[in-house]
Amino acid sequence: MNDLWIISTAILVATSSAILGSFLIMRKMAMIGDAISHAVLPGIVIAYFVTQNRTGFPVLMGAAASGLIVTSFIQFFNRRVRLQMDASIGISYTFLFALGIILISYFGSNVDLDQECVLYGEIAYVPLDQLMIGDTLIGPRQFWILLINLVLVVSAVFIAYRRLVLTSFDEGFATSAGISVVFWQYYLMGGVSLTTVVSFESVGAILVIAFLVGPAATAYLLTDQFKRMIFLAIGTGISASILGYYLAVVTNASIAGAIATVIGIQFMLAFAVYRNKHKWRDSKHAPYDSPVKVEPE
Amino acid sequence: MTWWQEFISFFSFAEPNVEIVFWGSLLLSAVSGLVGSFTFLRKQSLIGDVIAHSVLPGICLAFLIGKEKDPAYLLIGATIAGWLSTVAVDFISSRSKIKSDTAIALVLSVFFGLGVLILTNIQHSGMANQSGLDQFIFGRASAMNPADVQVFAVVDILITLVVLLFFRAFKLLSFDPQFAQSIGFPLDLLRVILSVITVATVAMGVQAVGVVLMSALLITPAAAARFWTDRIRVMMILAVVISAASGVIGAAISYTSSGMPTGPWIVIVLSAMALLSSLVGKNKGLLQARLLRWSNDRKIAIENTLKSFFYLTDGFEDDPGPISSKTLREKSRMHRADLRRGIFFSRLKGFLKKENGGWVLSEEGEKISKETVRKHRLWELYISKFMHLKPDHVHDDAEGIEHIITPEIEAELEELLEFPETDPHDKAIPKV
Amino acid sequence: MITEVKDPSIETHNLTVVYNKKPAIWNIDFTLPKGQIIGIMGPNGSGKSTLLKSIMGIVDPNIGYVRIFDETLDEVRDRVSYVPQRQSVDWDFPASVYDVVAMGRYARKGMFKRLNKADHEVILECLDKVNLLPYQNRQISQLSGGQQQRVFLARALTQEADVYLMDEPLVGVDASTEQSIITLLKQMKSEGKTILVVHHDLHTASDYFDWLVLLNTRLVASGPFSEVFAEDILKDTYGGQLTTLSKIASLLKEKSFPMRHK
Repeated sequence: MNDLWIISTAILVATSSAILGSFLIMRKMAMIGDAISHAVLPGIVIAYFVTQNRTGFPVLMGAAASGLIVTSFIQFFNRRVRLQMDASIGISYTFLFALGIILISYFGSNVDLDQECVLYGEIAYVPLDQLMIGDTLIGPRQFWILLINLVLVVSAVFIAYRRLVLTSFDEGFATSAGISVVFWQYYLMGGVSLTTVVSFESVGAILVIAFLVGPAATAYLLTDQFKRMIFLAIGTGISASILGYYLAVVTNASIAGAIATVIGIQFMLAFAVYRNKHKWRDSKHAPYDSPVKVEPE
Repeated sequence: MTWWQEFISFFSFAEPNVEIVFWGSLLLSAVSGLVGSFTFLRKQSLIGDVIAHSVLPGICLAFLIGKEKDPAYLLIGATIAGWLSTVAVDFISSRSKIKSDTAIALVLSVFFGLGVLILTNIQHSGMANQSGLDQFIFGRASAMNPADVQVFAVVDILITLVVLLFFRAFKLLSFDPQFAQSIGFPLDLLRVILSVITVATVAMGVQAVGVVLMSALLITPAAAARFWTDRIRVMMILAVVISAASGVIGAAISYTSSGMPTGPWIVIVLSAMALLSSLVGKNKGLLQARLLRWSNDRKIAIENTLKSFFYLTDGFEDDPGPISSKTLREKSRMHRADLRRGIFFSRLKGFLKKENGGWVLSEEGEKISKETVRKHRLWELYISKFMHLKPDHVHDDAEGIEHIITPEIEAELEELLEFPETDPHDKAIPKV
Repeated sequence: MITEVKDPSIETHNLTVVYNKKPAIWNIDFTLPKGQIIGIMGPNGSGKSTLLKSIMGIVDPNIGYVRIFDETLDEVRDRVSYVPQRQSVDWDFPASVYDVVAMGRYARKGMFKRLNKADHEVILECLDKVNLLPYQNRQISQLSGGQQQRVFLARALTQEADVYLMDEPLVGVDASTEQSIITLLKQMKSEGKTILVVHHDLHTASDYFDWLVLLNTRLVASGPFSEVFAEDILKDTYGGQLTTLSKIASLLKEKSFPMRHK
């Protein structure tokens, strides 16, 4: 039974992430996702320390607050003092992450959060924290939280699908039609932040990125149609969750680490298929083009 | 002991371990500042991030093969994995439709995931000696030993030599790779060399500050230094100084309370320096911009105030005597606050005197007044002549530009316009 | 050589945009007629695209404003359509020709309205107008440059606007596509549409345009084609940048000096 709970929790994370990740990579915003996932740490630690509760609403608020702070830091460096985008991202998130680690050490024994958990989560312990209605156990708390998150993400994307696609594909045209590119960007970032926060405990900061970017990138290589790409990404994420779980059992190692490894293997396979189909395609971009989308001034 | 005494006592090297931490942090941060300058200039700060996360599987595999924590083994493992990760990013983004930001995030997280997989496998298998392997994730400067510091010193010297030797080539590679290639620089070789020294720096640093925060050591010093200078040489020296200072201060802070990690403190100090630089830095800093704006506003207020005297006296042909504040308010078309400020500063600088309850210009004030009108009319003529604007459209533009025309540009305009006498409205351009 | 028109389609006032220490456009002041094909020409970096973008509200001007049919852009957005440069988007985006053309239709719709049968017919009709009907299910990554350009045109057509602003619609297309695009534009003109086209081939200009705007950071000329297309005016347009203006613009940026004091 525990196995099932763990696998379904992973699947929930994978599904929300695959949907959001598909948009994220088309918008060339993968690294902003990376920054947010690291930067939510201090907010979580403070809220956790204050409330002594790991999953409550305050933790969510704390995380959202630090997510907002890191975005404003990036904006400050990039816009106000005109630092290049890659460095703005790098400075901002490492600063908040360092702050989070210091806070963990500072509160030390008072909080039951350890440093490793922050990076790669404790999905194996998910079944231990069961939710109760009346006298019956209805399953792990994490499972239900992630399920709600998935419902939110799916409905948010469903409602705004066309707007999100339009602003991802052609910013100039969208703006000319009176659609705010910035608004939909923040809409998407909101979804990414929420998913990062609720997935934090089970898969940790860095592996959430593997979930966001990996399956979407794999699917992108395999199809030319955006809707199909989203469903393929979900499928890839789900299969990675299942295979990763068993890989972890076999190797007696971290489940999140194993899932990320499977995601990497899936990508390599897809890459081989892609290269086989597109032998003609060679370096169109300079080998080192700027890794981050530089906003037009 | 107070916190401050604790902090100071770090620098007295009272405990033997402290000396190691001091030198270790110093050597490490200094070389990161140096190497990071190039990653920063090449807008590849996030490549440093990839390398830092990706050394983990290398370290773990090296441990598995070597069965012990031999620093040399681990360094080699880390270097290979870090280098592989840059190759992977490069390969994915150049050989497929995947863009480099996605490639970076993907490689970073998958390599790290693999590292976690191997690391937890080692931990769970209860292998002897495994304790301390996890320190690579968050770093533990206090665990450095004299041998480490010796390695650091050697690597520092080697990297510094490489940078000195290839300085000009690296500089060109960062600014204009196409030009560098066109004059026959071996671009690929240079990239590999830069890549190798970056990977080596990261591999060396993860032990002290950990994989996540190592990238800060590469990115932040150069970014902070950039706020002080436009010159690459100065920037690199500054980056090294800022970085080394942060390393030492961070280590000292973490020393003051037990259980405090060193790496995060170094990063916090570094970030604080970057933030401070962005605020007060001489180059693009926020405070600088604010001061500049104030001085611009002051200049505009003064010149506009003095200019109104020109119009009120018909180009100083008439002498209506002292002009009252009331007349100025009514005739100058300036906002009250601007006028008040203009009068205040003009008086302060001696351009304006109070006489019989009104204002008169000093000789210098009159000169500035004429000069401003002159620039205004020259600019009007210039844009109507060269930009084909109609005479009734040139005034607003000139109202702004008149304050920024330098004597050189003024001379240039005169020559272009063939030393004109009148503006597009047939008003005389005053001579000074 | 700036001709003003009464009851203009588009008018700009003192439109000025300064990028990174460089003036892109400076003090552009013109009125454009209705129902004509208007060419916007000038050397590289003369601010042609920036002019279009600032008319469409994609770039905020430092100074100045634009009026379309004597209203602000927001009031007449439904009557204006924009065709961006082909290279401004990532053609590796996973979408079909039909998907992209449909964007023009649903850009106008509210968030919840679905495309109905009439929309579908308009889309197919517009695809047919640019001869892409057989390609409607083709992936956009597999298109040639000329086909990509026609996808963008079809998308704009579905918007059924009165004014079309096209940024370099003839760049990178083969000669026959160029001809068919021009035929299409002329047909649109006969339906009373106003079309602005950024273009840079002087040789073909006389066959294409009724009205010509010549730009080199500043507005050099704007008027009926035959009046503007003269050697001395072209020489003025293509005769290099105004260095003094560039110096002023870079000083403005460097000292963060306000262009207009409020």
